[in-house]
Amino acid sequence: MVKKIFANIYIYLILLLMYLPVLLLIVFSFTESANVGNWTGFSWNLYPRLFQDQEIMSALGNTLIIALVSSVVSVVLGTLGAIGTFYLKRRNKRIVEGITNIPVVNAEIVMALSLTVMFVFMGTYIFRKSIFSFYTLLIGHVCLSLPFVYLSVKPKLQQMDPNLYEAAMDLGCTPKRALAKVVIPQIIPGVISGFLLAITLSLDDFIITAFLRGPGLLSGYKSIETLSTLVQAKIKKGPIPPEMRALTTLIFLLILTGVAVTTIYRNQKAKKIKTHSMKRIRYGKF
Amino acid sequence: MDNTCIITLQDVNKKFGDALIVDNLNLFIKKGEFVTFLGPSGCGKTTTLRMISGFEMPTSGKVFLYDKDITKIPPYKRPINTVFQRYALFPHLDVYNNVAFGLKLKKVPVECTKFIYNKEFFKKLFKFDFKNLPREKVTKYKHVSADVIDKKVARALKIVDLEDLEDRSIETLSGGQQQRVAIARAIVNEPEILLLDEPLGALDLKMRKEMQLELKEMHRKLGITFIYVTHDQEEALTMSDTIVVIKDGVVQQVGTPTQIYNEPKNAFVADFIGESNIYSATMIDKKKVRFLGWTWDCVDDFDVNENVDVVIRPEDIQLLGPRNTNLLGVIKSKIFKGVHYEYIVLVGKTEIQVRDTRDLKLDSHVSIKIEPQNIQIMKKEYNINAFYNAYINDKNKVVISGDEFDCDLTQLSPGSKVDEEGFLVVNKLRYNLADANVAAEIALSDIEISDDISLSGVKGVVINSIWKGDHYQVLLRSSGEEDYVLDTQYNWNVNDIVSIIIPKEKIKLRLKGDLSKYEENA
Amino acid sequence: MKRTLRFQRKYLCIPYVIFLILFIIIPILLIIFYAFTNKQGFFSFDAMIDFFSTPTKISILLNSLFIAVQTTILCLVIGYPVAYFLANKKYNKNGVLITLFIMPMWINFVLRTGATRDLLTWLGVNGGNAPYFATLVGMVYNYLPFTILPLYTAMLKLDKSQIEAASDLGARPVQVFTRNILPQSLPGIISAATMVFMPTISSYVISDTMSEGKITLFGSSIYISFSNNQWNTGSFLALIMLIIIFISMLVTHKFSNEEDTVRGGTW
Repeated sequence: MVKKIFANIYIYLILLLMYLPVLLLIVFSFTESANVGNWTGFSWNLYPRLFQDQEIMSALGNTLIIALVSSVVSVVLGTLGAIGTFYLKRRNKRIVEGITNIPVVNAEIVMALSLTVMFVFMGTYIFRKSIFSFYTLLIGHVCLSLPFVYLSVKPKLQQMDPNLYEAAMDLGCTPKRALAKVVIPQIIPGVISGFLLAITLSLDDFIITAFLRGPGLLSGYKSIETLSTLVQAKIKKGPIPPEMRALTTLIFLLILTGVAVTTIYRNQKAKKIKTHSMKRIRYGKF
Repeated sequence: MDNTCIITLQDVNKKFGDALIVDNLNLFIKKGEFVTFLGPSGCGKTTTLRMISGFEMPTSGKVFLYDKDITKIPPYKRPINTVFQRYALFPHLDVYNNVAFGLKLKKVPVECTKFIYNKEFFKKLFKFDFKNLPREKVTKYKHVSADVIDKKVARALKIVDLEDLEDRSIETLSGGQQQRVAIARAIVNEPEILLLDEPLGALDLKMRKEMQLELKEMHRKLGITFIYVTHDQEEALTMSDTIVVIKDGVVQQVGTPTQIYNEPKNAFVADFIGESNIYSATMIDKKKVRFLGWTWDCVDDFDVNENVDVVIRPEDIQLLGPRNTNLLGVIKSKIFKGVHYEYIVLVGKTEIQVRDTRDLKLDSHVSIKIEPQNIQIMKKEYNINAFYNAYINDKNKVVISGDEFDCDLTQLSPGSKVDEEGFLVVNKLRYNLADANVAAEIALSDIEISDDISLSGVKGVVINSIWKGDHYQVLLRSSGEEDYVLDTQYNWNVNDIVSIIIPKEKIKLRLKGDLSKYEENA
Repeated sequence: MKRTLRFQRKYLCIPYVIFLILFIIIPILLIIFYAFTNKQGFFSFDAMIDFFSTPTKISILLNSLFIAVQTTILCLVIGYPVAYFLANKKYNKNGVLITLFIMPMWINFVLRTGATRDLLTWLGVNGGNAPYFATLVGMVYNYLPFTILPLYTAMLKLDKSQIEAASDLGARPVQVFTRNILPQSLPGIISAATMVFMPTISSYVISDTMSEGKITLFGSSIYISFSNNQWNTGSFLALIMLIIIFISMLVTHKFSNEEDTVRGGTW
């Protein structure tokens, strides 16, 4: 009993401490003061101000565009890569998997610097001008998330009955069709979780973006600004800008909704499986 | 049943890396038959099946469908469908869509008429002579229409007795139901040949018996060729029109179940199909054969002094009272099997399996009688030493007619090891192999002999030694009255006493019955 | 018969492999190349000599290692009980609580770091008066969820019957913990430690923000040489980072079972 009380106190205390900074921002998103801790009366004003702030809005737009495009590229490359590698001979498979693991264990800053060095090299000796742009940034973000797509698709391939592909061919599918009609549907859960992981990694990234960005997207002639780089530039000079407090609140609400929806969905699915197995006992013919 | 060959395998070889899996296979499969490939696991039967279905290409040789060479035709272009070992049903589709999968892909030729847009067409068009517009007949390839698919799926599901389950998802079906869906999915395409790769392996015994009869019935109704792969000899005997016994990628015998059972071509077939007593024997006179230290009348004619194998089925041995002037033995063990008793009778050091309906006393003396026509005599094959009555003793050694040899038990299951307590461990399951019956094979070149009789516990006498051009072939008889043949560079004198040395990794073991029988409960 | 290039499944990995070679392998080779050349592109040990002869640079490396060790230990000490309690169904019904612990990871981490700094500033602690402490707090705040998750997965795999057997055989709670629970959760501890240790050394934003630029860690020094276009120096620093990663991977690999690494690597 004592143990239970202690455990509960400990868990909720840590949880509170972890959420404290974010909670502070949320609370102070309803007042217009320049920095947190200074309550100047309740106001909704930060929210309209957030949506009028060109800088934040274009950074947000950039962030989302990069996240989506890089995740789609990663998912296509990574999924095909995982399928192809799965059917390689053992030795080649080990080589590809070894290379796949490099970006996983590598420090982001090393990866960022190595790509920068390469693009600088190419810019100096091949293109004779700076090649930093949306595309270099895109390559960086794909490097970041590609191995994680690969690693989330791979177990699905391992779990798949190897005969499924053959069964499809046996029933008249050409190899490409068998892949599209049988293999892809089987690994779709892995592909989706890979996609979500890729989005998360891209949204959260600072270092790769800071190193590899060039002019483009919504920033026009200026260097591409994402949420991470914008916030970093702001907090280097002072406290988090008031509009960003409103943004944090909205992001938090979005995540909370997402988590709530998936939790409810998952619990219902678990229930469904239970009732299904009940049905099986009832209808069981054999 | 007509006599056309639907599948012909011509000089087919298949290698995986260096391993020869199928060795120069020649086989004719008649249209409409129920053919079973039977053999121990790893004998190449599944590989052969996969070459017929198109998933593997022979390293050399050809596969014919009727007289068309299909060796290099991919599986999706062959009129052959497969029922896979673990069903391989598509988990993301329901029962209906699994069964309809092949039909939805199929394009069938449809005859249709088309106008020919030439001068004549326009002339007639302007004269309003619509009836005689020039047309031509063309064949177009179209998908099968939805209601045809519906009908065919319904019919296939009816054949496998699953009418009401069309929209159930696969994961809610029992193993037996999944099995039926897999069969429906294959037969709905109306293949010329249905391949079944150990389809009943995952079912329990009762379901298996039921499905065996149903499959047989299905074969009769559909009238197509079934090629069935199994390692279960009972299954093969129950279901097949023709059995092809395969061992190490080589066909041992092709025949009807009765032929295979009653007239096995060699000791391996005799041992693999049903229970049997197999002994090395010598022809001592016309139609007289000597084994178990006794001379027997027989019906097969072999050269005098020829070494042969004899096979006697346990039910063909009669046990009589001890006073008869026959070979005498002692009943050593007795197991009640429902209809009959299974006895092991000891004659000297040799065991004889006997089946008898009478209840005889343990340790009682009996005399043994065998009708001459029940003694199957087979030419001894001197390409390998094969011992079918061997067993593993509690020291994890293999015992061949009383002679103990070290052996490597891990070969019985890939990835296994033997723990300190002597159990075979596979995937954390422990097996106690003491007293397990095995067949042991040793190549002629793998037996060594030495005149230093302290080198091995097993000793033997040289019976004869023949020059084979570049080496001698020596026949030994061990103290346990077993014959060993070996190739050696040296000439040995007849009646020399030698020790017999066999490296433990050179003894190839095959477990009789399933490994699961020996599982040790923790 | 004509040999035609027929479609095979393994061909699908070609674009993936090309991408890996172009953007993972070649850049790393370039780093090694740059680390041992000078601005004119000639082979030289300048970057290496410069690094080892500048005491501040070495002290930055040692300082980073020190902070990384401290962060790792703090995260483990705080996170271990959390993971242990959460693995018990009594406290973590339907897995909701563990989700709450992971949720902060989805808020942009620069924003989170800024918020932590603003909180500390509000409480009177800032880069001005306690840069070291602020950096440590920032690190722990950021990496705690990454510690709890692998520990939690390891705890779920604990063999409960072993623990019960130990207490049944008369082991005192402390003994049960040291002899049974701790060894069983070791793979989780190791993978949690790698998830914290490596990123801490190479982090730039956290130390820069929390200490208001007063503390330079190894990651920051790579960032600074990037800002100043010193590719050779930067590459040499990155190479040292790669070597540290490689060594810690070897150590991790030695101590943990392959299947238990949460990041899914086959190292």
